[in-house]
Amino acid sequence: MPKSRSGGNGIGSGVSRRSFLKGVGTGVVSTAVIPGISAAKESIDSLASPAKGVTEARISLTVNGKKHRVNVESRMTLTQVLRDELELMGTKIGCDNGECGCCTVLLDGEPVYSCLTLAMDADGKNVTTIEGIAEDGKLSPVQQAFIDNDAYQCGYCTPGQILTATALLENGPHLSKNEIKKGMSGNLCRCSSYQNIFAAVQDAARKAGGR
Amino acid sequence: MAHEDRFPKRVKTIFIGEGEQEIREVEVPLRDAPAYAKDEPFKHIGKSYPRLEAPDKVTGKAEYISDMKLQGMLHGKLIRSKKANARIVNVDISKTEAMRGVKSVFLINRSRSRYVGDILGALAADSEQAAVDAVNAVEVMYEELPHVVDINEAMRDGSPQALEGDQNVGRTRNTSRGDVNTGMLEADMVIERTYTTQVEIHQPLEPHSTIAHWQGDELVVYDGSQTITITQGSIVSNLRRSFPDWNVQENKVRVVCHHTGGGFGSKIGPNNHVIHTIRLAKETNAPVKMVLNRYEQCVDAGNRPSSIQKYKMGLKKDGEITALELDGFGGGGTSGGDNLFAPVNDMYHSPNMRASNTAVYTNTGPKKAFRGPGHVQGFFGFESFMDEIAHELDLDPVDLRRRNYAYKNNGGTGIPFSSNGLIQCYEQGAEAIGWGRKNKIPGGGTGPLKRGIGMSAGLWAGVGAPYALVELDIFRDGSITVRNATQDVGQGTRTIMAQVAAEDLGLQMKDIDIQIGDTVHPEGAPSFGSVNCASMTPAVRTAVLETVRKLYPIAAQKLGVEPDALDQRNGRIFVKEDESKSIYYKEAAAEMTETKVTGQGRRRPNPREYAGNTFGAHFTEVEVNVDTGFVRVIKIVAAHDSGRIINPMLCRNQAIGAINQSISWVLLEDRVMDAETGRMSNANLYDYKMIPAPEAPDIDVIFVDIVDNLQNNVGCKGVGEPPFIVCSASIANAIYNASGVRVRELPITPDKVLTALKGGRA
Repeated sequence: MPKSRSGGNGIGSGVSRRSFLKGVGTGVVSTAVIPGISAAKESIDSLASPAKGVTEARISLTVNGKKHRVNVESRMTLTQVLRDELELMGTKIGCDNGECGCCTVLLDGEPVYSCLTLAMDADGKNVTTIEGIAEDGKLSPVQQAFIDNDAYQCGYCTPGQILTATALLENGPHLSKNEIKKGMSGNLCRCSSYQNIFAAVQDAARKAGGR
Repeated sequence: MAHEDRFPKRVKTIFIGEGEQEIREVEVPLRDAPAYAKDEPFKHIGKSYPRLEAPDKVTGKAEYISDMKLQGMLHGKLIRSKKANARIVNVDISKTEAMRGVKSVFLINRSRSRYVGDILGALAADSEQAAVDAVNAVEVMYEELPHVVDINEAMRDGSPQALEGDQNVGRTRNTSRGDVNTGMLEADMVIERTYTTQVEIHQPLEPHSTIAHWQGDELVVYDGSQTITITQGSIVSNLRRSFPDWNVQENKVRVVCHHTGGGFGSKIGPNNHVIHTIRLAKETNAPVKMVLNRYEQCVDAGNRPSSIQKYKMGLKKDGEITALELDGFGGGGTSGGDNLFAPVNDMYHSPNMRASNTAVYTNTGPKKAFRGPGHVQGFFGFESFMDEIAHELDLDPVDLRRRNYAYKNNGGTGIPFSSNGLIQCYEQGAEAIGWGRKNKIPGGGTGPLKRGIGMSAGLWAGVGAPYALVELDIFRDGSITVRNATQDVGQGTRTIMAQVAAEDLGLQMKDIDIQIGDTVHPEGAPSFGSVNCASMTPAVRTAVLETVRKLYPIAAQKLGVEPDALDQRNGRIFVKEDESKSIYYKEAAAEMTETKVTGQGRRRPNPREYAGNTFGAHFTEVEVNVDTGFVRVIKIVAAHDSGRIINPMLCRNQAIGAINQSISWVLLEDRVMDAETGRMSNANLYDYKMIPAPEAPDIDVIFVDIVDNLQNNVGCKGVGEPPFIVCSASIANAIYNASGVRVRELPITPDKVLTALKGGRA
């Protein structure tokens, strides 16, 4: 069963809440001008005054098999890197607070809430987003099962659901319906297509040789 | 040769949007597509095709408004009040205006904050973070007034007054028929009960998102919407009224939305932030994107109002209703409650009825239509009431309802229904759940886990509405485009439109190009009221009819007859007198001089002599843990009359979604207000509990075999709202059957179950 679930800290391995808070300092609201960064970083140029505790770093992360080097601020989330820097819009923001699962991506194969994952904690890691699930344009078994079982309505939670389901099945296709329900519990669906989502996951599991 | 010189008539049509009757003048189409035959050999209708946009949704390619980036785009944020009830003494934006990156700030003319989150102004900055920082730099001076955030408090003598110039207990609406006093006297017994329901927040996972972009005097608004046609019209009239010197013209305003991430009523637009976004875009001469955050979604994006429902019913011993009374109260913040009349007005035969509905104001965010407005609240109360009555009279709950079956609307005193499958719903639902399995004695069983079965019924409108004008293009090579300004918020609009077009043209699904989501196309039906399917699909059929008809002159030449000797079926144009003489539409199209021919089709007005309604009955099994008070829904059988079902898979998904939402509302959801600060205590998705995956039970959806050809040429009705309306009381009734206790106040949380088990009030 995957490690990161709702209620977990989702921040990513190696960072505890305590060390995170220490690093940020006294929690002054962030405004920072960091010299030497290119003019394209509009969010930096627009800030009014320097802020305490906000640092910058250049991280290297592999997203869907492609390596990227990105300048990030210490306060940036992985969601912001994916959507704002790398223009991968498939990862959605539902709450930006680690409560809905719309932002789910795989970090070294484990489902995490990218909105609770600091960009710096993705340094040196492999990220899989919804854009990386299909291979050479061929839909994965999970994606196809979602289509066959109509496992969405508005589609906004769907990328997150598919990432979680993909990781769930990779940990073992022999899952009972209750194990599937629990494994998917970190992804809300307000349109509430849950029964179809379970059916899709079971369908994909069956086709992968599971129960 | 008879030269056609007829013009269409215009008539008034009545339709029900979101629970309220509206009247519009509409054109009667000169021709309508014929009803399908009883044994029509359908190729596409009735098939569970996957959605046309399925590949986009599973690959992340589906673009929602907040995914869009325009060159030079700024980020908008709203400035909101932090006080529940206060005079706005001063709003100081001097620091904000001076911040680097801030491009425009304006305040709206508001002297009073009516709730925490009330909008005071808006600003645009060149990044989202800069906009957030800029809002935080606004300094507001308030003169605080006492506030009230609870409906019961608001109704007490001496409660603070929530709104300026309005008593908390506001306007009362009344309705009646017959004579309730006489009816009560005729009764063998009179029973009274009170039920209360809580405020519910829509919480679509996609937040409200809008981008406004002016190019000269042309405005494009990208808006996550349920109603792009209505939104476009509202924007035009709002801008003309608010900014007359902008000289806004209807033909220069366009609304676009290809995917909406849920709405459930909250995205019936335009929402307040849309106009502010448009103004920011005008003042900065740049595109402006505004996306609400989850806190804003919780406090100021609309809600289902709370309700207090006091029922009184007079009955004969055999269960016949002799008189029916309701005194209802609704709390929708600054806007009063929903109309609670539907169950007492329409559901059962009751010639003597009196009902009142009173608005109660509090310092909380205003309501907005939420899936089955008024009906969800009213049918919870009323169908729980019917269950209690059945128990008092020692009658089977289904039998009590059948005893009082209404053959006409208005409690049997009005006009007949165009179709009514309620009896089939009762019968098929009861059989599927095994209705005989329910506890003979409620609460019987050893526990602590006790199971029980309950049922409930309900109705909704859900037939078609105006705003459905479809354009269809037939190209010279026979390819087809269907165009309309409706939108798809997850119901599968594109797909059912394609199924109907493919059926009537004798084509495959892949041959139909559906273009929606843009007001550059003609009037489209809203995605509310469960009206979309019954509005759009008949209009598609008429559009096929009218456009193929434009090929008659060419077809007539090829077949050696006059054009008025021709008719069509499934894309084939044939001679009426000799059907063997025919050509497929493509053969005529190939000889067009122009590249394409375009026709328009609209739906016909609703029939005046029939009431159009959808019906359902649910049978629910629950398990109650009498030690902890926890309720688990085991299984629901949901039987529905929604007319002809075009795509069973999509319809079933609508139903299970609505049912899961019902379970969520009955057992979990609650907007909690802190009395002292006037703030919402649980304005996030963790503390505002919604049904998560593990709580979703087995659901068996049955669509009874009804086709309603009186309403429209497809024979279909709606399905989005009915299952939520019907389901809620069945859960409470099942809890009673399982545990022997009745909870009359939502949400039915474990503490309430335990209190009831211990003999306390619940």
